[in-house]
Amino acid sequence: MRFIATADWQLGMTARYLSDEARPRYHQARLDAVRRIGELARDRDAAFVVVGGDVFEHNQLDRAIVSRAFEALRGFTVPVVLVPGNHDPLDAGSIYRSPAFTSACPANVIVATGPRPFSVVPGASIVAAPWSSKRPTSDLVADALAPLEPRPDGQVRVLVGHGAVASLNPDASSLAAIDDTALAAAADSGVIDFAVLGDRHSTTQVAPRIWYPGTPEVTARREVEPGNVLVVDVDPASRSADVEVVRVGTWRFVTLQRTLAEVGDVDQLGRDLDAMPAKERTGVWLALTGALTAAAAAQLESVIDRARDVFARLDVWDSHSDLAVIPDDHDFTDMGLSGFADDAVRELAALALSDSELARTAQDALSVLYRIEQAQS
Amino acid sequence: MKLRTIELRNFRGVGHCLVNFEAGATIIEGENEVGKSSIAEALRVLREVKASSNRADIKALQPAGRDVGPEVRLTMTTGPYELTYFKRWLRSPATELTVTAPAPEQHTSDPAHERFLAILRETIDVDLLTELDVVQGSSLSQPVLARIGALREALDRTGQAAGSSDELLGAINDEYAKYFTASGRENRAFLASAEAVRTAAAAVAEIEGQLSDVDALVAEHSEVSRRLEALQPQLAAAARGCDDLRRRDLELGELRDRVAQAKSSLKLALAQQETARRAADERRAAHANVKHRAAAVEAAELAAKATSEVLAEHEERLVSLRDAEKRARAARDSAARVAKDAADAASLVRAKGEAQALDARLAAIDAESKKLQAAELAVRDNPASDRALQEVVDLETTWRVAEAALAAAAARVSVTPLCAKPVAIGEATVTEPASFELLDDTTIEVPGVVRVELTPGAQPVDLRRAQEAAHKDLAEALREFGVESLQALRARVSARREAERERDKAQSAYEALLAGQHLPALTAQAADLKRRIETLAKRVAAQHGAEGATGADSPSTHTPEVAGPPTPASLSEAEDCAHAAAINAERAEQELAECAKRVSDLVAETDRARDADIRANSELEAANHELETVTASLTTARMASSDADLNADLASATALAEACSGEVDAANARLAMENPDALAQDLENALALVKRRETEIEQARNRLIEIDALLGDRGSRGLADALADAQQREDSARASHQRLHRQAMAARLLKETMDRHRRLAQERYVAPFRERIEALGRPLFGSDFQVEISPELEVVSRTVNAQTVPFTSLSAGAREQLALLGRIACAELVDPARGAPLILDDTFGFADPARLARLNVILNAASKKTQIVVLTCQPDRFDKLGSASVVRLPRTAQA
Repeated sequence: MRFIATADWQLGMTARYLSDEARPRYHQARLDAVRRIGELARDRDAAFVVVGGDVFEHNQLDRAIVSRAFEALRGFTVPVVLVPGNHDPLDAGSIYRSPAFTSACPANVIVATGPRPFSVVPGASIVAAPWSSKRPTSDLVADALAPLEPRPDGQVRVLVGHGAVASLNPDASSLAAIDDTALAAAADSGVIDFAVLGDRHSTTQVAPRIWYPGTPEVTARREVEPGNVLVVDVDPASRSADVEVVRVGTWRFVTLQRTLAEVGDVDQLGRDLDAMPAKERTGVWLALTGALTAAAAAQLESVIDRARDVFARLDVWDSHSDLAVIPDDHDFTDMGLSGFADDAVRELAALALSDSELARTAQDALSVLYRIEQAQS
Repeated sequence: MKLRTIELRNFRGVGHCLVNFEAGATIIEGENEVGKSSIAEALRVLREVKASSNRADIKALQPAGRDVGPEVRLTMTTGPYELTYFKRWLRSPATELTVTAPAPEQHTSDPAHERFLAILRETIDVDLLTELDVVQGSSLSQPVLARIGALREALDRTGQAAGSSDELLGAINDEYAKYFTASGRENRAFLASAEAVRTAAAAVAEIEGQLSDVDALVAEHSEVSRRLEALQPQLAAAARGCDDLRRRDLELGELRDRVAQAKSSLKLALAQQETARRAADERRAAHANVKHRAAAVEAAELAAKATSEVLAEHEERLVSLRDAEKRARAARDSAARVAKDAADAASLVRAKGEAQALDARLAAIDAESKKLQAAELAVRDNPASDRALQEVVDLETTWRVAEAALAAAAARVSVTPLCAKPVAIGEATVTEPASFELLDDTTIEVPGVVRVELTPGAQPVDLRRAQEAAHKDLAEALREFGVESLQALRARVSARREAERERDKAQSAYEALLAGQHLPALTAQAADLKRRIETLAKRVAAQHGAEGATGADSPSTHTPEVAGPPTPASLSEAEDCAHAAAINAERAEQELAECAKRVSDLVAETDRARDADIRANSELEAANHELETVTASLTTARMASSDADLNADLASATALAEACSGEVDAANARLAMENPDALAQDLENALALVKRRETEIEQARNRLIEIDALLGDRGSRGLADALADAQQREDSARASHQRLHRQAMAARLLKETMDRHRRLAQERYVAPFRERIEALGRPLFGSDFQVEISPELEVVSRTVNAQTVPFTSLSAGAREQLALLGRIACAELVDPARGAPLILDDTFGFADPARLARLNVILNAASKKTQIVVLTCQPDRFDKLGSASVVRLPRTAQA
């Protein structure tokens, strides 16, 4: 029995950090990823698709996103099981309960509303642990598994849930954390054959039969391995499970860390950026440290300005950057300043190199002076 | 920079003028309006204003009334350049620049203008040029020396090349002005940027608030759903409890029925008891009634007897009282008669008196009437009234006038007897001379002697006729009155007047006697009186007769005092008698009235007694009838049921009622043991609880419907998208503001640092400037002369003789001198290669002679390093300037 495991589609997500021009493309890219999942299911002859929560970014999205999602889902030739997660819980305001959803839901789309196992295709049943509120007070997966006996022979039973597993949860005290040990035990004892979890956007194997497929299209800079879905093969007889990670995402969010000391470093950074592929689908966070002369800083500024025009997003990541502008004698002697002006520049240069909280402002002031001088000459 | 020559043509009042400048001091003298100031002005406009300019101040350069173009030609050296610069304005404008060194150049028009300015900028400080040019009237103001770069350079001890510091400072200020106002506050763009962040944040907060409302609704939905689930079993439990209580309530029904039955029996028994009691009461009442009626009959009998006795007594008294009344009436009638007789007698006496008086009066009237008739007759027979007499007198007068007129016309005959013989004239005989008018044939005869027949000639006809007519009228009038002459007529008129007097007298007397009455009335009155007297006489006579008869037959026993009096002798006597009789009659009348009233009162009383008697008898009859009726009724009732039967019935009914009452109490006691009130309360509560649960369920369902609707509405708003957009805008605004803020802080730090260092530098170069001014000024103000100089190189105050006075408080002369010292110091300090001429136009007007002398010395010293041009109309001001060359502008220079 082959199926596609995916999660965290986060449809309707708006990436604030992208440029105005890039945001609509990025928005569309998530829907395109869904289409590719449908194509992958067809190409790989998968029997069904399960989505482990956070299909939608939010319950209060403009309902147009539902129509667009359905447009993508209509291309699926197999059933798709959607399991509400923490972003789109099945509460009173749920997007799944909206008229836009209920009135136009394609026949092959199934929303899991409770823990009772149901057959998705002959020979395969689903145990879902949907979220019915944003803050569940128990391990929904454990709750769903509790009443279950080992599945009948010849049947494949897949659990689809959402949330952080206890072993990876930084908040160990969370009541809703998924007890992955118990889950692994259930998998081992034949209550289920495979567990698909959502919430973690990087593709992650928790245990041999427990996987986070991750988001099919990157959503944040910190994600380690996003952009994938899982093609899972379970043998009903032997219960062996094969997992293939398949990339469907087209966007990348990259952090470039550089220490800059001279113009040469700046030039190298420029070349590295130039070399990056698919710039229009790439977001770059520059974590820059080091110290540059005013001239080099001005050079860096122009490199960044140029790159900003071609990347979906490119900017200095302030909180991870510490780049000083150091006054270089050459920078200002060329200006031919004399008397008090020269004195003033020297004072600013000293301040720029000091530990004063005004050091950064002094650096900026020197940059301004440098710019003014460049404009005049 | 050194000026060599300047040539003006058609420039203001100057027709043509050429001036050579010395390298040192040049004094240009001239009287007022010969064009000294035009030279200074020409230097300025040549530099600043293009030849093509049409400005008002350029137009003002044109000589009055002449349409010519003002021209200026200047030769000068500056830096390495030697040049001639020419401009003509307004008419055929032209600009020419001829440079002869270091390399020949030739320019015209605007390029010439631009090139000249470029050469100036290259070789000198233009600001210096401006500040060293003291325009007429502005010598009191201080030059703005701080802006002169050349001076600052000279003063700046660091001695490094200054380059473009001013431009740099300008650019820094421009950068600063992007974020701050002149007063250092954040400018509009900067504030707007911060405001944009606040606005964007507020928008985010607004949407977050709405989303939080959605979360609250979702939470409430969940909570209400849970409550609804819990309420269903609660409703079922309440309904079950309610059913149990209803069942128990049914069981109590039987007991309640029993109580009701007992109460019903008791009600019936009480009704029977009431009936029996009423029957017994009625019987007792019937007995009492019979007794009461019998007593009433007795009382009525007693009353009837009493009334009949009273009636009899009244009737008896009435008979005797009526007899008394009859007697009183007879007495009254008798007295009335006597009074009437006495009155008649008195009337008779009075009538007789009246008749006598009236007869006498009538006789007098008759006599006067006769007199009146006679007089009236006499008057009637004599028509000769006074008026008739007057008419006749008038006629006679007319006649006499006519006669006289005739006589006047007739011949006059005078006869004079001459002897004693009579002369007969007509029928008359005269012995004396006589004369007459001969009117008729007249014979005069002396008998015997002579007869003379005189015949009058023809007389005037009209006179004769008039005389005749008058005579005829008179005669007719006299005839009419039956007299012959006027005399006779007068007698008759007198007679008539007498008759009229008689008549009037008789008339008065007659009317007095009548006294307004008519004679027939008086006559009738007299007749009446006579008849009355006759009647009264008859009555009195009859009375006397009757009296005599009555007195004879039955002499009065009751009223002897009113017996008829004898016929009275006089009127007063008669009246006294009548008065007495009238008083007697009145008294008798009163007695009769009193008696009649007593009778009437007793009659009324008797009537009342009779009524009372009748009523008493009626009541007695009624009482007898009532007694018979009730007695019969009681008898009948007793035949139906005896008194004993009735008492027995009452006793048995009472016993039954008591028994039923006991049964009710017993049934109630049994019901009370089951505590039905508590059960009813429980049941009521159970029903209310069911209702409450139903209401709560209803409310919960309604609330869920409401929340669903609200959530449906919120869901359709796309709040999450809106939030993302708003957050993106906030991020953008915040980043933009942060950038702006960072730039602003940088610009401010840069400007502040620059300004501070500039100020420090200024403070440093203030010192040499001050020293220079003090050195220059000591000869002028004294050896202890000191000045305070601001960083802008302005004199702040002057100290002389240990007295410090602010510049603005100094005298005009001192201010002018200090300002000049500043300029000279500036000129001296500036690099000679970059220096500019010091031009003084009409200055030192405020200086005293001693100071002037010293100023001349100072200028002389300065002229060694600086070209000085003095324009003055008072040459003596500068005649101690030793090395100066003097140029006198003659009046002929004027146009």
